[in-house]
Amino acid sequence: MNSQSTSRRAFLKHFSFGSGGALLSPLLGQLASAADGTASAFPQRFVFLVKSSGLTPKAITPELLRGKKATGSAPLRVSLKGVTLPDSLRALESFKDQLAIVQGFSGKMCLAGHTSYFGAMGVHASPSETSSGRPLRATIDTRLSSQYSSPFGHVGLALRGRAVGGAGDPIPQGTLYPGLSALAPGRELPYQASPDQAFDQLFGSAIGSKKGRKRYDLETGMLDFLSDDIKQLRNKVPSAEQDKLSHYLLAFEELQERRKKLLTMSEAIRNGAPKLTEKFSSQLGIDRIGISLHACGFMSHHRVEQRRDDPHGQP
Amino acid sequence: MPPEDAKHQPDEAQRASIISWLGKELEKARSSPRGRHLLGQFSFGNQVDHDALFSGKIKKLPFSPPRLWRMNPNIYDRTKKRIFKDHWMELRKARQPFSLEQRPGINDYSEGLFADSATLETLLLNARGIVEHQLNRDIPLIFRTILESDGPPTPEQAEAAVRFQFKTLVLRPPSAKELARYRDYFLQSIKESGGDVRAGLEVCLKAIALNPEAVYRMELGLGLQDDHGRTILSDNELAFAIAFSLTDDPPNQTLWSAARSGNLGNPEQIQTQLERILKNPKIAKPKLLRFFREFFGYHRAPRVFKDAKRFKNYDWGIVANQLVHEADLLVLHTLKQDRDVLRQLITTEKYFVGHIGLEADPKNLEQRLIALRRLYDYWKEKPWKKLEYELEAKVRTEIERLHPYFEVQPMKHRMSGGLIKDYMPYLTICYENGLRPMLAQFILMEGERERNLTSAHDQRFFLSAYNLSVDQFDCPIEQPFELNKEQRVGLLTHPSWLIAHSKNTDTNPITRGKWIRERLLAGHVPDVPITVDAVVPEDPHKTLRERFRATRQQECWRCHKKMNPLGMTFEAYDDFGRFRTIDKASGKPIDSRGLLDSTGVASLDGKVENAVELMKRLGQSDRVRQSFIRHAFRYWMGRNEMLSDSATLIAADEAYVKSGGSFQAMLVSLLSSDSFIFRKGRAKQ
Repeated sequence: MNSQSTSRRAFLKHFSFGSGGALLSPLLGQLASAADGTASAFPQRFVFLVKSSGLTPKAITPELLRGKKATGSAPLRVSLKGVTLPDSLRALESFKDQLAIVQGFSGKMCLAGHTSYFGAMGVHASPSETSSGRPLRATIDTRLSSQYSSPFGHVGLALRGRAVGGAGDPIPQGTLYPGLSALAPGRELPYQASPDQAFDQLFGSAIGSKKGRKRYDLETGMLDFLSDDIKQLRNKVPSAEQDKLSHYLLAFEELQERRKKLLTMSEAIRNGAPKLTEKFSSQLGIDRIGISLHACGFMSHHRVEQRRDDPHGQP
Repeated sequence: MPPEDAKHQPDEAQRASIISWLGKELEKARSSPRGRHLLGQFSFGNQVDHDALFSGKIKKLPFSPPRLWRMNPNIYDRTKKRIFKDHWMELRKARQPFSLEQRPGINDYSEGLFADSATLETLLLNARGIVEHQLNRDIPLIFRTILESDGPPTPEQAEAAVRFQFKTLVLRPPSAKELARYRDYFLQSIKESGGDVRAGLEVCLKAIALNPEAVYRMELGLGLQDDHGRTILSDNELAFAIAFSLTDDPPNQTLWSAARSGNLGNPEQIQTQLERILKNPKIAKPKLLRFFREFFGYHRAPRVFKDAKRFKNYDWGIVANQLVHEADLLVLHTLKQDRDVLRQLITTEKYFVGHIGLEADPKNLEQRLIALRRLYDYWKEKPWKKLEYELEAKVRTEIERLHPYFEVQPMKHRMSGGLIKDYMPYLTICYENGLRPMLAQFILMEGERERNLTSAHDQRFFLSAYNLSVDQFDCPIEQPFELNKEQRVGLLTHPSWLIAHSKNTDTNPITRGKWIRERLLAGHVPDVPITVDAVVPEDPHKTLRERFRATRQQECWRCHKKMNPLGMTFEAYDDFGRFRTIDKASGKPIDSRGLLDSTGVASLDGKVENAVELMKRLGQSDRVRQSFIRHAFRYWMGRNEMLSDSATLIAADEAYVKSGGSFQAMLVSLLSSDSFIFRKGRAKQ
């Protein structure tokens, strides 16, 4: 490990598939065998847990490796075999053979003021928590989720609604766009901070509060109603322009498709979804939802954002 | 090819029939998918022959193709603001569903912009947020009445709710058919949810937010047909077209009344409305500044990543933003004067630097300077460096007594120890050197904080982009002022333009030359061939011009001759826009000579000594003016020009010239032209 900034270009140069795959070998090896068709049980689900501000490089560097530096432009590569993990990562000790710690990416280009928030993830200048700039390209989580299709390709959950910020600041609820995940240049993906809304959006097709179910069914009807509107309008416009409305109509049809798919999974959802109690308004609410999502085989990937002073911040 | 020998040449009749056949095939091609695609690509606009367009020989009547035009993101932002008002958190959470490409040039073309699943997902999320806000936080009267009554709403109440939401999100009242359809949907949803009025209202309001006309603007030409197969835009369509051509807001009462009473049917009536909007200072017209930004491209400066260390500043982003702001001021000032607009923008010797804004009254500014001097005199012998953030009440009172300006600050903008520590170093430099400080540095009044971009301590470094320094710059009260007429004229030697058209560590004569060739000379430069790996060789002993020798090879020079001789004149400025006579890396003197060549106008061609001379020559040119008007056409029509638009362009050019270079006059001409108000072609199914 090193504490110097290195460039992403240098990193990638040294860790391409063929040459230095050692660092990322567990994952890369599996990706390679999946490509060959020799993968037996390649993971279908990915969880990215993002821990924000308040983390120093020292805290995730094993003591034995502190002070070690790279020489030249090549990054420093060290195996964790025989190395004790630092305190903050102690809980991962038994998974050490699947663990890679990567440090030292330059964040210069992401700086837009006092901090770059999550700009380093999408490599863009992120001026604030709620105004996250314009991501330059797709992030790895959305790339992975597009490889493995499922009803909800990508789910973002925000623990306690914040990334950074003081205890006295009001906690945003509902949908957030912290600038962590992007589908394409300029296309950020939303994160849900409200446990109630997350529950409704994810499990509402099969279970949930009566109110949530009602809202869900009404929305399904609404999508049909609007599809009719679009078709009627499309008949009135010149043929050359109908394409534009067809695109919009297709979007509705895709949404309906997903809802239909969820209907076929109702039983799995009912079995796997958590019971909706007031515990969901607790700090662990979003955690519980996350675990249940995996139990239902619901989607391939989700990402949880965690507040720095959250006492339950265990991976 | 026919043989040269006269008796084997085709005769007139044969020639005419071939040409006519060619013409028909080209017509077919134009309305083919490929043809439409090219109409919608800004970079192809210049392929339409410039001389033909302005020859006066094309007698076809102009029109635009009928179309759906996807919602402009700025309009959506304004709609959101009207709904959420000051609830800034909710406002921020409603994301922009209509993304526009960020390529250089004009991007809001009606062709090629779609609403797809990404758009729908965001619209749906926003719709939930909007309706939640409307039913829980800022509840309009009609919704409140419905929610608070026992039992379901009456049909009239349901219609009132539908009308309200249509006006809010579709920006127009519903037609009779729409009203009935959505009213019935609302009442039906209540039944389906077991009598839950709130749930029924919620889903109906959300549906309106996703209505296709909230997503695509109709410009089909639903009005009367003329004798030439063209139909005029309907009153509704015209009202929207006029409103959205100048503002980001839907038509106001006056415009709707004109539409409904049939007073928008001819060019004169349309001109009346346009002039009314243009002359009213209370109506915000952001479309105007945005055109100049997209045309010149100087607003892209902050996107070019620069290593702040090379500029001696820790936060480069703020410098770039300040420079863009000052270019904006220049544009807005020139638009306000509205005389000889293009020539002014290309050749003016006057700039805004560190100025507080266009609305500033010089008398007020004098008073502010006095207030600042008193502040300085009060603190200069006191230990201001040791101040805490909060000032003691006694001290604050004393400061407020120094000058009336300090009294009027609201609570949150009150003078703090932090501000004093920020102001004093700069004020000391100024007064010790007998200079007037830049007032833009000092937030004294409520509301200025948003406009003031340079209020932090080390942001005065932007001055060096103009070759000015903090300890020598005596900031004029009256601006714009003459900066240095030997070194800088117009927007193209403004640091923001130079930076926007530069690379991370180098200037970019190719981009700069290409810009002039395409935007000012209506020329065309082919794309880089795919076999070419264009890399400028590194050499610390050579200037950039010398390193570009490789482009002199025959196969390269074919295209590069259109760009290099123009772009090299800007080598007099480095990649931060700073004027220079020596190249830092090699130590050699800068050679900024250039050449105007193959412009299509003999009197324009010829050598130039430097960029200033180049600008002055371009500023006089008819072709440059006409190229500018072509770009205005593209921006306001949302498409490239066709040969049939010739009459529109000629009329706009005449309006501009006859009015002494009034941009407004040119715009009124464009927006009341046949190209703008008539539709033709692409018959309905």
